[in-house]
Amino acid sequence: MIKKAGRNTNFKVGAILLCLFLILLILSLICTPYDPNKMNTQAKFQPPSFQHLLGTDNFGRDIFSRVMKGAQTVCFVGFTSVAIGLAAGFILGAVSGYLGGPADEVIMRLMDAQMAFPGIILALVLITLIGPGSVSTALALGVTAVPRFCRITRACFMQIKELDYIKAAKSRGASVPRLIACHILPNMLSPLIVTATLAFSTAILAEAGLSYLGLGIQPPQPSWGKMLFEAQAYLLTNPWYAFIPGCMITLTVLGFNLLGDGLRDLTDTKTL
Amino acid sequence: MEQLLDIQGLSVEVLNGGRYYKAVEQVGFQIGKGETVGLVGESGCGKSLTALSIMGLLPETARAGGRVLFRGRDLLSLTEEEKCVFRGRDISIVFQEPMTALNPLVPVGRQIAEAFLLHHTGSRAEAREAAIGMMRQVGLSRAPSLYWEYPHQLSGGMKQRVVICMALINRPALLIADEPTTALDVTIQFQILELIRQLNRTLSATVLFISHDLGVVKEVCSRLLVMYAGLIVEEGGTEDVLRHPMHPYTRQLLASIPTAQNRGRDLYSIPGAVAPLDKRKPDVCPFSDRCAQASAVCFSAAPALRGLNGRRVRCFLAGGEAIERC
Amino acid sequence: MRTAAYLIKKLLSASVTLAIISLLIFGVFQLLPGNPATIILGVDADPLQVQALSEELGLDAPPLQRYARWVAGLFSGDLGRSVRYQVPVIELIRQSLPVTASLAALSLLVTVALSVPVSIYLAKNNNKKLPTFISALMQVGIAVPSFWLAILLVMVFAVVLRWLPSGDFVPFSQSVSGALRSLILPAAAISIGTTAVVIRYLKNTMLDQLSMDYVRTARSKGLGKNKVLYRHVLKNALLPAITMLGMIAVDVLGGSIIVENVFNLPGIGRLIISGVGNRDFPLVQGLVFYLALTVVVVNFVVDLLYAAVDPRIRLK
Repeated sequence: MIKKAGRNTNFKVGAILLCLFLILLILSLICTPYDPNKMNTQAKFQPPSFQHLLGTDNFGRDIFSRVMKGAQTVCFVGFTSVAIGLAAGFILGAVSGYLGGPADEVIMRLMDAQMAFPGIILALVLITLIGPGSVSTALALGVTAVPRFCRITRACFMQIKELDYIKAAKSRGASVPRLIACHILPNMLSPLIVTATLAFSTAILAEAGLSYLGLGIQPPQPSWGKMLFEAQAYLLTNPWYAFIPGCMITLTVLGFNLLGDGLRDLTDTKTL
Repeated sequence: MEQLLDIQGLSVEVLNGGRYYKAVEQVGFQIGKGETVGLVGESGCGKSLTALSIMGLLPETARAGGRVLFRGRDLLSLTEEEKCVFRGRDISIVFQEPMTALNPLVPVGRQIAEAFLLHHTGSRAEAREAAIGMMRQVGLSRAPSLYWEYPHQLSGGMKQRVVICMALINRPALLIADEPTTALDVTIQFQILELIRQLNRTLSATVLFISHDLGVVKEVCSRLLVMYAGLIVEEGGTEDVLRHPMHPYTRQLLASIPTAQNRGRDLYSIPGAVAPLDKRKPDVCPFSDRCAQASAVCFSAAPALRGLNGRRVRCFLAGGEAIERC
Repeated sequence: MRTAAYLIKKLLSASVTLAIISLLIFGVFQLLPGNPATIILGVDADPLQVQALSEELGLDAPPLQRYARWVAGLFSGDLGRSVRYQVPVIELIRQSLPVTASLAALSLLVTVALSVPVSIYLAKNNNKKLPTFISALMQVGIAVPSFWLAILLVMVFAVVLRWLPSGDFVPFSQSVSGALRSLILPAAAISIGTTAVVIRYLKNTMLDQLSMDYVRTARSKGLGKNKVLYRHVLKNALLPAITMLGMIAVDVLGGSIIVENVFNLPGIGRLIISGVGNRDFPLVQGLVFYLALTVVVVNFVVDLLYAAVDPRIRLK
């Protein structure tokens, strides 16, 4: 398995990118070179230097520190939304796949209906209702991720419950939760992990988009999407500012995508 | 007899995990015009690779060496364009799996007509006429309406007839039938065999019939080639080989055919399997590990293919006292 | 006969989906938040104002009656009045629809026009150096956020090269070529991501198809490698790709919402963001329903297209 992973370019590159991301994240938890929200009107738009690795922004804030803090935001929104999507999607999918019949019909119709919205619209609707901010962004993106997890869970349950050893365990009188924990969950691990990895990257992109529109993360909390929006106004004079957060988003999303694709190839799972 | 196909020292190497392995070695045989020759062996013995290298259709991970002379021209040295000209016109092939051999999105008749148009200058209407005529000849009823049907609407036997149609529409000099009946029901199998036999007579097509099933091959073929682990191990007239098999492998193959005599008894099966490519030893008899008669000499060197009573066999023990009825 | 049954089945399932969507939208906007009027005006609004708005929005009727009224409005094109703009929602949609529709159509066109030839090239030259590099580039294309791409495109083509406008949409009524010019960069920003997704998918399907038995049969007839690809493989590979069209349409719509805001295009995307920002419930509610309707219709058309092309569905 490890040997195979070494040969899989997707997996390798993805893992390296994510390691870099993790290092940045861990460092940001310990300390940042400057206070990411400290304004300094004397030092606006400094180009990258040893003092300010990535320069400063329109308020004279250190961009590198803000990028680091932004990694925390990415992580919070990503993890929370994937957790919400996974939990809700798993329960719905399990009920749907295990029970079948009308429950299945109703849940799948709901999922179909939700799939008809572009993910961002759904998030926008929820934000209209509960207002912008990091928690509501995570919640909104979590809800958009539900159908993905629901479908994959349902497919696994439907497939697995027909297997002979599951039927045998059931006829032995094994209790249903035990059955799920001991027999079904281990089989579902790899598709769920692959889906979660890919959902994480979707969430990062969506958070950046929402924050760019001013409806996601609210200032002064640093967010890469918001930084892009601020940078846009100074495109003519300070183009490098717009470059940095965009690169960060792209590389992180790329890392998660490649890791997800790599894991999918390595574990030979099918995702929807 | 005029030689149509003359294969000399054909070898096929297959790429596996960065290394080339010999899957077919020193294969040489001739097929005369109008002959029906059978090529028999277990799966993995190299018979399909032999067929594909004649057609120039080896997968990209395989390469062929030696010479495949067709009417005196070496097919292996042709360019890709030249190969496209002889393929389907001079030599055609019918593959094993009729279920997937046809494009699911194109009406079957159109697929036959396409083969016609590739090698004839004619209108679409002429091609359709030719295709429908050929469809009738292979025993497809209601050919004109069948022409417009899609593969999924046809049964397996009908599909195989369509594939045969496609292979024969340009009246090729040589037809290679690679396990054409294996995927079919027994009754359909018999019909297709009958069809090939009849087409061989009426169109005077030369046939190279490839199968793992001696019982099927002996129905159609006048001469037999037995392959094992990439090598020809025995060659001779069908009657001779069946009556006096010289190679122990041929004998065991014969024993595993269900016949009237062994009805009701457990069918004989040859113990073990063909060694995988990376486990083959070039310096011993390739069959030694599964041969009941194997003696010290069999493990000491690889036997050569030698002529014996107008036949050929690759066995140290053949000839003399070793020949016995199985 | 079977075709008719298939059509009816698909039509039915589309209607059910639409019905559920309408229920969900109504529930989310009208029932979940308690009194929408309070939310629109804020918690500490003047009770009299809230009262007035409630009446304007027809909130005093029982929920079922309100739902029925809303659905009847959907059919007749009456979606209520925008709270912020004080004009009928349908009027606002009518004004912004041409921009978004042409942007989406252009993006879809670019996606298809680019992805088919590129994926043919990649499938033909699998495992060579340049194609492998292009495939890797596609991974980046999927990861790039469309709005950053939009900003970069503006930087290069509008600011540095000055070839194309960076915003300031010229209405179609003024100049068709001007309108198209102002849509080129936004369409490019949207379609790079979708193109990358489609290329990856199409290339893999084509490689799968190339290893099918029917390809070997076609080659044995004397067809060259390229001819087999164009005559036999392409059709078989494009068929499953048709089902992707629906997904791409969703992506394009989602992408245009953000990208319109980057380029300041007066389309549905900008309208909905302003609606969300102003908590303009009637506006957002109507827009969301129409967007969902578009997606459902697109998916229905995709199903029809699929049935028209695949003989296995058409006849079985």
